[in-house]
Amino acid sequence: MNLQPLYDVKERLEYAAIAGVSLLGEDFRLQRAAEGLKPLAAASPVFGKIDAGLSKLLAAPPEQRSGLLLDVLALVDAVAYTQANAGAEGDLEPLPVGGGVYRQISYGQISPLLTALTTTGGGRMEIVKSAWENHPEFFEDYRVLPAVIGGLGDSYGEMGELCATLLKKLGPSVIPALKQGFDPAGKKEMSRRVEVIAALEGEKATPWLREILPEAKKDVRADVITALGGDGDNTALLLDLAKSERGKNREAVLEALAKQGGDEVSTFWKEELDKNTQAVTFLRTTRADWASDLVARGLWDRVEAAVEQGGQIGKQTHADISTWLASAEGKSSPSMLDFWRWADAKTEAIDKLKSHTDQPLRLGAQLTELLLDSLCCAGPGPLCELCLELWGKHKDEAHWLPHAVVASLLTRSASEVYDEFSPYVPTIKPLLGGAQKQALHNAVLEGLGRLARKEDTGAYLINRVWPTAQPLDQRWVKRLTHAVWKTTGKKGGGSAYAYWEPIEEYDLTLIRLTDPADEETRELLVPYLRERMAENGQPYTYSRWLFRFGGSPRGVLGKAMARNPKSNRLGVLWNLMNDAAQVLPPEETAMLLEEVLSSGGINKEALSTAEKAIPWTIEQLRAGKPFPTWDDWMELR
Amino acid sequence: MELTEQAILLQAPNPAAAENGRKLSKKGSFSAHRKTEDGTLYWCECAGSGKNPYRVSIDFTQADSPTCRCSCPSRQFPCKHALGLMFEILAGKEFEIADIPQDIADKRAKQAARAAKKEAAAEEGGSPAKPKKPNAAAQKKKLAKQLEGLDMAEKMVDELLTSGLGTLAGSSAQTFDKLAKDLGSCYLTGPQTAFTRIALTVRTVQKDPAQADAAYAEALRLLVALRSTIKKGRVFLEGKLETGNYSAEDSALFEALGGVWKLEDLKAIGSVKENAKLAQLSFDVSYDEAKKEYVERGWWLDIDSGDIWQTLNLRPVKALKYVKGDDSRFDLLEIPALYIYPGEGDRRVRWDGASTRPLTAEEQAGIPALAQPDLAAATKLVKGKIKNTLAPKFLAVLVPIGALGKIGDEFVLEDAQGGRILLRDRPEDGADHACTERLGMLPRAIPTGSALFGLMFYDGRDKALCLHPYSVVTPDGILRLQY
Repeated sequence: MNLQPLYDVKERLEYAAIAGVSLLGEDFRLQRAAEGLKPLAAASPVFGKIDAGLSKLLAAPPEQRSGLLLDVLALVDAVAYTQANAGAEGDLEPLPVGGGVYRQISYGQISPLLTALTTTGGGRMEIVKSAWENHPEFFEDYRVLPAVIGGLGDSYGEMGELCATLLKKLGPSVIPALKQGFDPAGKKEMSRRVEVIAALEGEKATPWLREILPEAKKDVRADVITALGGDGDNTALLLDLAKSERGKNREAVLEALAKQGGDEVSTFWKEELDKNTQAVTFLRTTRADWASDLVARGLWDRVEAAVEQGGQIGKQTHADISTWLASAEGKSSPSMLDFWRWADAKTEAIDKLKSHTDQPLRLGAQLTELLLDSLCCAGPGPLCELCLELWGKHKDEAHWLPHAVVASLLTRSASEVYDEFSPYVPTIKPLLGGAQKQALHNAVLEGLGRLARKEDTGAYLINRVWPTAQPLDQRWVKRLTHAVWKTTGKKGGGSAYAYWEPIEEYDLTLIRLTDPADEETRELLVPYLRERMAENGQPYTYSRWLFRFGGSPRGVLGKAMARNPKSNRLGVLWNLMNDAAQVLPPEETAMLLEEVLSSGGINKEALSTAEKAIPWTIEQLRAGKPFPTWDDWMELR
Repeated sequence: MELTEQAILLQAPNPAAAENGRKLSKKGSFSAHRKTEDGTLYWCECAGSGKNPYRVSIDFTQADSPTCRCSCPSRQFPCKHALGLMFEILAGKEFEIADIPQDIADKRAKQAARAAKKEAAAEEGGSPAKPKKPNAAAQKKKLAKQLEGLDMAEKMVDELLTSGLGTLAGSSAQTFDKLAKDLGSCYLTGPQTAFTRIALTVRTVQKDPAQADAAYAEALRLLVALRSTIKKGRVFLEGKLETGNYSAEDSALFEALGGVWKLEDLKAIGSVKENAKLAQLSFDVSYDEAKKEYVERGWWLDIDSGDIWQTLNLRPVKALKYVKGDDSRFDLLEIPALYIYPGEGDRRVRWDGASTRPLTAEEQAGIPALAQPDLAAATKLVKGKIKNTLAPKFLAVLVPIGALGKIGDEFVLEDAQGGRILLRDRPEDGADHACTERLGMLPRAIPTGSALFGLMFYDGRDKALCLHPYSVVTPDGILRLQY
């Protein structure tokens, strides 16, 4: 049965309701639709009823029309429902299987996460992070994963970054979902999808990246091009793109080409650097020999020209050299090594160069620092040999000594390193050549400053990356705690415990090298730290270190505090004493509190409360009760 | 009750309280962990902001509804400390065996005495709560007021249609809202809500003219239902007035006009089923803009009869803090008395108490077999229900799966007889209920003998019956596309 007349009537009735039934009398379209229904009305009683209803409606006075219209519409709707189709023509293509993950998670468990991922407002990052911490498996679920992918385009950039990080952690299983519904002309979400897919698939992403490249626009295009750099087979394509792309997209091409290799790439870069000297920044992270050679050559030419010119160096030239210097970090091709040897030979001339304002240029110092950074960045390899070679030429100078210390730590036995370099850290004040010897001492400390002990594994790492050839010789601890000079020649760093206490770099280095669990170290460190606390008057940092090494600041705490009463506010006092109570016996904490109270070093504004809170706390501790909370102290105000 | 994270969330007044409890547990705020030898009582101390720790305990004497006690002043119940203690138990922390503290022993004894008294009263024949005898004069007055309200509603419908739905904008919409509020004063909250919905729908057109067709169609559907409510409601109320029957009746009109069912009323009309066993098929939450409340809806299958029921937990925005949220359930609920609301189709149910246990493999395997015999039977059933002007224009159904696939961009379900239906998201449910696409992400092949649960609805765009899939029910488990 052709039901079109019925649907026409329904449509006209709905229009009449929207326009108002007062105009019904003039609605010739409704009348025509009613006429069209007549054949159906003759064939079926239910259509007959509709027809009768329509006739009544069209003939009704205005005040009855609205009710009658709704009655007819109700009937028309009911018939439309009962006559509804159900079905679909065509070949049924089976659904893919295994494309997603289902977890039995309740609404209550995932709704805060979904809300955080799909809405706006504060506190969302915390919810997502906490959900990841407690239930990383939730993020794979097919109800959550699309929201995480949608989160890549969150208007709050950090949320987008977080989603990208989490998707990378989820692994390759998320790739199909990332590719589904991908829009190459899209915005930030699509751009981040490319980044995640490229990070997860590596070279395998190439076919997909090549497929979407022609349609890719704006940010997405730049990211696709950058990602193409992950596969060495894309060189030809990238070289082509270098000719056609402009602006950010061309920068992306350069970034991608920096990861490629081969003669063509090298030739391209040579020409590119000739035309655009600043493009060298794209070679910054490339360690390949061809890039290293190009940078070495360019740097050499520039420094050599400056040396030949002598005297003052223009601002622009200096900036250009600095850019090339930054790009040389970590590079170690034979040409680069030759450059360093040349620079060493020209140290005197380089040191004479001046800036455009006639101030010393410090290019020599810049180069020295760069080689140390480079060595720490590259780890064991040709740079180690180079550094030892350079130091071997100038053993009486501090110039290459930090480099030699680091290179030795990376390549030689712990005892060899100690035997070779510990004499530069004297424990008895030299009678002659003090300044020269202190410079050598500082240089060794600078080298040791690049080393740190990893708390969880106990490994000693250079630059937090490269493990030393052997764990540090523990004789260093004794040497350093007994050294004549407690300096490194460098400005001190901030304290993790009290921002107002600038701590000597020497002590920061020492702490980084020591193992709090080692009994011998503890025996050395505790008296040393007490002594340093008394000398420097920095109670908050040294006390914490003492706690860490199983010691107590009793006997020096009061004096140290008295040196700077203003900083001894009630909050920091409570924090310090609370920390003490976590590691020291209650009686020891009680005695520390007595020392604090009698030191006369408490901030004036905090004094009245401290005078009530401290004796009460001592009582509590001696009564076997736990250290009071901050709120307890506040109640005593 | 097995203590799971989900069980803890079910106890929590809101997700934030549970999260705060979890944080307390993680940061080690609890100390002095103790439990009784029989494992029915756990207690410990929790560091708070005061100088003394809070004493918190959980009594599992009634395993399905543990009693939480805490010395903190929080008005939330259970508080974050009690929830934190649950996380401590869940994390497998060590609890030392100890004797029950005297204060809790006393409270337990009082609780047991109260329960015994209640049981004794029930055994003596008294029902837990008899329906109150209505005050005849007041009820008469209320019915008269409702009839007056129906006249007003009819007038409003007339005026609206005379001038046209398209005119419902600006100041006329405000007047309309005000009149709708007046209906509430006539105890006609049902029609009042319907008018509010109409006004909201028409406002959608003003905000987004592209949705005009769908919005006007929805407004008209509401008007048709309203017209029917007014007509039938008038007959219903006049009948009650004439007969002097003022108690609640087994009629969907009672609720359509704005009546609120109490459990004792449902019991009084005999709308109760004993010893029901329900398995949840799906759970979802939506926001009702007209009533300014969150609607937490559970879809349940009676595993004995195959009936599909729905639970609605209504949480007005204004009282969100005070109404506990509902959640998805994965266990079987054994319900001594299941109260069923009058009406047709997916009737609403409630219960006073229930115990839970995991579904057995046999019970789970039997669930898909409770589906409609085929798509033809399901569509016939749906057509028969939705043609009723007062009924919602969808029906929850469980239909057997022959095959699931795609034709072009459309998802399609085919039954064993070759009958097919389009699988689509129901537009009225909004984007947060969109889940059909998830069928393309199923983790495993659907075994033979599975069924699909969802809402079958009429899609006016192509005048077809479609199915909004909510869950894939297999003999070994339910894959929820919603929650």
